[in-house]
Parts: sequence; C-alpha cells; structure tokens
Amino acid sequence: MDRTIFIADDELDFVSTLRSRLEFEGYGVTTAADGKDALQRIIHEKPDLILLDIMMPTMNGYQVCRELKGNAETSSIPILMLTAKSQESDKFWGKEAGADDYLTKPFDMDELMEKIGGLLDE
Amino acid sequence: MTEKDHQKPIRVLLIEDNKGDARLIREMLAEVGGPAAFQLDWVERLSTGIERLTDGGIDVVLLDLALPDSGAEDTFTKISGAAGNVPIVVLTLLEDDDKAVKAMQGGAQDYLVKAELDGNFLKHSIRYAIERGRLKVQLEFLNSALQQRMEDLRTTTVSKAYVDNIIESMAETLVVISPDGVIQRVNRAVLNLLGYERSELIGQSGGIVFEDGADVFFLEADRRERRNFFKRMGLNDMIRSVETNLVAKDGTRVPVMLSGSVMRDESGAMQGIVAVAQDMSQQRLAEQQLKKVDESLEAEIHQRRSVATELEVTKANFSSIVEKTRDGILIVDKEGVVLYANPAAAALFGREEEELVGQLFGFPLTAGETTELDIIRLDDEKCVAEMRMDDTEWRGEDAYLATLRDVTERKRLFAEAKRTNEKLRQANQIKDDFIANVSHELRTPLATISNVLANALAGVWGVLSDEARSELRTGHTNAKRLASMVNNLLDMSTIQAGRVSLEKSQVDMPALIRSVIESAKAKAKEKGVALVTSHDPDLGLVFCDPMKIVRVLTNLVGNALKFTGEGGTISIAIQNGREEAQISVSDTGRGIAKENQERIFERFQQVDRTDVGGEKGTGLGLAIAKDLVELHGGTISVQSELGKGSTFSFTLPVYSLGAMLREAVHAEFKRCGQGNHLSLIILTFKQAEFEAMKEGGGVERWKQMLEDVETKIRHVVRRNMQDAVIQYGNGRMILFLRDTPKTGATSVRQRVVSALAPYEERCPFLVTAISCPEDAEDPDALVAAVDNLVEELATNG
Repeated sequence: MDRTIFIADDELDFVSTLRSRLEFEGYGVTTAADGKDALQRIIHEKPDLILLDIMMPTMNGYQVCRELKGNAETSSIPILMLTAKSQESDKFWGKEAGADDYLTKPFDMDELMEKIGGLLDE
Repeated sequence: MTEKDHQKPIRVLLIEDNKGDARLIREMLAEVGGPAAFQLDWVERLSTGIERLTDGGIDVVLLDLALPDSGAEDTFTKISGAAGNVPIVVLTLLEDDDKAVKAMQGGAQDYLVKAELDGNFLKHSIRYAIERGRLKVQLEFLNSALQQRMEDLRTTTVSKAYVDNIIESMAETLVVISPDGVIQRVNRAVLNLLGYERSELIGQSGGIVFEDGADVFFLEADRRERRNFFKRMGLNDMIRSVETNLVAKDGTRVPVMLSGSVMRDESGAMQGIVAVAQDMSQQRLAEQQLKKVDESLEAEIHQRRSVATELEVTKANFSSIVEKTRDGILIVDKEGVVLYANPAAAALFGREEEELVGQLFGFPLTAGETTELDIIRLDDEKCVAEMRMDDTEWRGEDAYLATLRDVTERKRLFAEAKRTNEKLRQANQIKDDFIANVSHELRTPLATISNVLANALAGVWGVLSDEARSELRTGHTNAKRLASMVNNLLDMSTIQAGRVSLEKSQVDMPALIRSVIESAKAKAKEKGVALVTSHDPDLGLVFCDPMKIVRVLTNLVGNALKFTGEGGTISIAIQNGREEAQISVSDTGRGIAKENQERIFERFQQVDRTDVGGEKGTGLGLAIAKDLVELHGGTISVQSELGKGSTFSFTLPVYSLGAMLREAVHAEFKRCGQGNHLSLIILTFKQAEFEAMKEGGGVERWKQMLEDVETKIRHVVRRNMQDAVIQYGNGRMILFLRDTPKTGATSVRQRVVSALAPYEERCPFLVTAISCPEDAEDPDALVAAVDNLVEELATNG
C-alpha cells in the first residue's frame, strides 16, 4: 500500500509542485491550507508523514505540532517542519514542540525527497 | 785783621737793660777799634733784640742774660732760634757764671763777666765769636755734604740687592744673553713659565728658550743679520714689543710679547742682550673669550634689533589686522560698557562703530565661556553669532575681550545638512525595506520555478530527451543561483541596516565544522575534491552565533569548491590562540592575483570568475562573510598565490567568562526591552564531579546529559509560558528568563530543581535565581551580582 504524506501549507503553488513530485515518487498526498483544518484531518486520516509549514492561518505550525505530539493516536507520526526563517530559535521551537526534523525554505526538492525517505525508513 | 774787616764795620747788637753797662761797652768799642770798626745797635729788651735780629745784617750779638722781659735762665734759649748762625757772646755777672756756661753749652760762642770787662778783651771776644761762627757754618756744610755722600753711598749699595729682588720677583721673564749667545741670567718668571731649573739654563745657548724667529738675539748668529734685524725694526739697539713664542721645557710654545735691548760698555762694545718677555697666553685666552663674548653680544644685539623691528612691524600691523579681521572684536569694561568695537563687530550688530562705543553691551559676561547670541539688528535682520569671552586689559583697566563670529550661514547650512541627512536616512530606510520586501517576495516564486524544474528533471512528467534535460538543467541551475542571490541580497540588506543581532552561545567549533563539511560532501564528491579538517586537540568552546558562523564557513567552503579542480583538497583548520581562535579554509585551487586580494571582500566584486565548473557567484558571499565575522569582533583575510591556492582565515574572539556573561546579559536586556524584568537561573555544576564525569564517561556522555538537562529545563520553562535562552559558562549553565517576576523566577527554579532531580545523582548541581531590577539595578550590576553568586557557590560547594 502506498504511503501517504500530509502537506499542511497555505502556499498553493508550492503545494502543487510538491504534490506532483511526491505522487511521481509514489506517495499518496493529502493537503490542507490552514492549521485547524490540517489538525482535524490528520487526526482523522493518520498519514504516514506530515510536512508542516509554520506560518499558517488559524493555527500555527508549532501549535499543530504540539497538539499532534501530545495526542497518543498521532504522536508517533513523524513531522517535518518547513520554516521560511533560518533562525536558530525557530528550529529550536520546532524541536521543542516535538518535530522530528526541519527544513528551511527555499529548499532543494531533491534534498526534501531524501529527508522524507529517511524519516519514513526510521 | 784782614782787608775785608776794614771795609765793612762789624755790626754789633747789644741787648742790655743796664744803661751804664751799655755806655761803658760803647766807649770800650770806640776806644779799641775807632768809630769805623764797630757799629753798635743797642736795645734794652729781648723782644726788641729778636726783631732786630730778624731784620738781618747783624754780625754778632752781645747778650745780657738778665733782661726785663726774660729771666736769666731762658734768655739764651729764646734768642738762639732767631739768631741762626749769628754768633752770640753772653754778658754775665760774676755770680751768674753757671748760667753763662749753660749758654755756652747751648751754642753761645763766648761769655764775658761784666766786672772784668776790658776794651781789648771785648774786641777779641767779638772777633773770635764771629770767626768761630763762620767755621761752624762751614763745618756744618761739610758735614752735611759728607752725610749726603754717605747717604748716596748707602743707597747705591742697597740698590743692587733691591734691583736683584725686583728682577727675581717681576712677572715678566728676563733673560740676559752674553755676546756669544750664552744665557747668563734668568729670573724666576722664566723658570715658572718654561718649567726649567735655573741650572738647566745658565750657560746654555739662548736657542733653548727663544723660537727660531727670535735668534737675532743670539750673537752666535751672524752679526750682520742681527744688525739688519735691528735696522728693520728701526730701533737701533733696542727692539720693543715683538710678538713671538718662547719654548717651554716640554716643547710647548708660549706666546709672549718680547722686548730686548743691547747692553754696551763706555767704549760702545756690546756686553750682551737683555730680553724681557710678557706671558701672553692668559691674554690670548682672555682675548678669545672676549671675542666670544663680543660675538654673542653682537648676536644678541642683532636679535634684539630684529625683534625690535618685528615689534614695530607687529605694532603697525596689529591695528590693521584688528580692523580688517572678519571676526567681531569688542572690548567691554567690567560694568558692561563697550569701550571698543572693530568694523566687523559693528557690521554684525548692524550699527556704526561709534554707535556701539559707550553703549551697554547687554549680554552676559563670563570669561572663558563660549555662547551663542541671537542678534536682531537695527535693520530687523536676524543673525546668530558665536561669542567667546576672555579676560583682557584695556588702557590699564581689567576688561573683557569678546570675539564674535557670525555663524548665521553656518547654522543655516548645518540645519540644511541635517534635513538632507534625514531625507537621505529615510531614503536609505526605504531602499533597505524595498530590498528586504522584494527579496522576500522573490523567494517564493523562485522556489516554485526551481521546484517545477526539479520535478521535470526528475521525470515527473515523463522521460526527457537529452536535449530537453540539458536545457532544463541550465534553467534549474540558474533558478537556484538566482534564489541564492536573492538570499544573499536579503542577508546583506539586513546586515547593512544593522538589523542582525547575534545570538551567541558556547559553540563546539569542531562539531560545527563537521556539519558544514557534511552538507558540502555531495558537491565535493561530485567534483572529486577532498575535504579534510584539523584542529587543536585541546580546543575549547568558542563563543559565537553558530548559524552566522555556519554561514561564513558555508560561503568560504562553497567558494573553495568553485575554484578547486578535480584532485584538489580543501582543508578547514582551527587554531586556538590566547585571545582569539583562528579558523582557516584552504584550497589548492587557482589562487587570486595579489592586486585583487583586497577587493574580493567588497560587495559585488567578482574577480576573474571564469571558474572551474563554469559556475558564477553572486559577488556577495565574501562580503557577507566579512560582515558577519566583523559583527563578532573578528577579522577576515586572505593569503593566496596564483596557481597554488588560497587560504581564507577569520578570527573569533575567545571570551573570558565574565565578558561572555556580560555580553549575554546585555543582549538579553536589549532583546526584552528597556524597563523589562530579567531573571536568571544559574545552574552550577559541582566542579569535582563535573571533571570526574568528563573523565569517566567521556565528553560525549557529558554532552548527552547536558542536552537532556537542557530539554527538561525548556519543558519546565515552556510550561510556565516563558521564553528562555540558555548560555554556558565553565561549569555553569545560565538561563535567561524574560518578563518573569521574581516570585515567578523562584517558582521556575523550584520546578527546574525537581525536574532535574534524576540527573543530580549523576552530576550534582546548585540552582540559584537572580533578577533585575530586584537584585540589581542595571545589566552591569546584574553581571556583578551573578559573578558574586557564582563565586559564593564555588567556595561553598
């Protein structure tokens, strides 16, 4: 069965190219464009991996992350935080909130694919 | 009796108060000599007799001793002085015989007893008296002549010794030379001056002491020559005042003034030469000194004269300068009345000079101060003057000197410049904002383009022809390059705008470098370049912002990769100094020409960038690296040789614990803003256990534990909804808690302590809380408080 990746990001162009690539690589892809929606659907869908943007409407990435990691049903799903900033503190807070890894935008698509592969293999 | 006696009668002065005796003597004299033989003057009193004697012409005195005005005892004494050489015959009574003898002893020629008087006897006595008186005078003359002769004789005898004495003691040297040129005599001055013993000179040739030019004195020399010399001197036998030298025993020449004369006997034959010389060396010395004094006096006079001239010029120019200077000059007396105003001052106030003088100045007077005056002139024009007050003297009275400078224009320009500056600052701000916005806005679409191209290259939309793949790869590379350029621009603008704040912490430099190498590995492998690292084994932690230093290293390593071909090596080395750590990135690439080495750190400078892989940079990488290093207080430099490679080195200061803490505290204050509360929780690990653990479990285990502790702390703090920053110092971990009231910090501390309980067994520690403003009033005081606390803990724990 194909593994599913959930993309929570409000930048639609980015989501679109990412979806194309991931589907090409053989993943199932679901997306959400705001924090609350993403949280509800992830709990419901239980994807194999989550790509979580920090800057989102209604609920930010950290909050979504903390909720998911605090929830026994979803706490084991690996989360890859996507941040537009390169500040140490952002990375820190991502980790503190329970994220498994992070990637700074703009990133190289190939690098992202590598990280996804790595997280799913663990 | 001679013929002479007949020609002239003998004048007899008779001093006799007894008239009968007097008549008897007259008759006796007439009887024995006739009236022509004796001329008798008779006086009765002694005083009259003395008068008669003084008149002169008396040949003999007949004197009665007992007179009305004189006693027998004194009469002879009284008259003998007046009588001189006139012989006196004393007439006496028989009983006065002894008095007559006394008179005889006093100089009387004879005495006659009145009772025995007889004409012939009297006549003979008178004659004898006269003759004896004459002989006495003659004898006295002879005696005196004899005395004179004897005196002369004595003087002559004394002179010889005297002259000898003078010759010996005179200051001038004296040498007597015999006709054959031999020294016959010298005085002591010669010996003193020339240092000889007398025996060394006497009998020797005069040539010993006289210099060649003076050998004319020595008769052993050609006589003719000597004569010629004298002739030349025009002095015949004498020369005077020739300046020459005498030769001392030690050979030195003593300057002298020499005079000489030839001694001759009565027949005119030469007996020798006397040479007298005066030592001139002192005089020469004095002359030289005098000359010097003269010269310095001359110089001084010259100087004074020129100073005087200058003063005159200055004086003449002074008023002209004051009149013409563009600065206003006013003299104001102590009461504030204007005593003098130059034209510039008048112009400044918009009045005539005469109008100002005598007016009250009306501005505060304090010497030594510079103030600004707003002047509203009579013509209603405003101007601003800068005024300097000084103490001065004016016509002997204390006064103020006010110097005024019209700064109206300067002020106006200054204000204008300020406005322009503000405009420029705003424009710059707009530019910075623009760049930041544009860059940010550019990033997302660029990422999209890059991602789409990456997808296509990955074959998302089907298998690509070789040509399509090649074209798309070019597109992808350029899109990525553009993205990194935009990133650099954004970074550059934030750095330039001073909006970058460093988040410094204790950084494990080797680990940081490993992470940089890790991310560059793929690229290095692709290019066939080796990446190596080396560092001091005892390298400590470096206090820096790790992300910024990663950026610096990424740029340097990226650059090195660009310019190093296959088979090359890139090495990263760290060296720990006492005050700074040096990190260098070396490559074996193509190198940079000397003339370009300075420029490469400037913005948008790309020097000869036809690089190995055909890649192009943005021209900002090194500029950003430089800015970031300098923000840390370090320096960056390059050493390179064309064809051999380049080494980029940068330094980072190694901080003392205190300096690190101070910087961290200040940074935290800056971040949380003025007036905010800042609390610190200090975790101090007990030194002994800390060391033991490091040795026993190794650094890795220690690090792991620290990380666990850190995570625990963050959880505790986070739950309290606080922001926290953790810094490390040797053996202690410091938490900065923002906006926490003291009680809050204390409760956080309690929670930290209980959360860390499981770790305390492994490594005991102490947790203390301190805050500002309660425990300290400002950042510096907080640092001091922390230092005190840590020290206390160290001594107690």
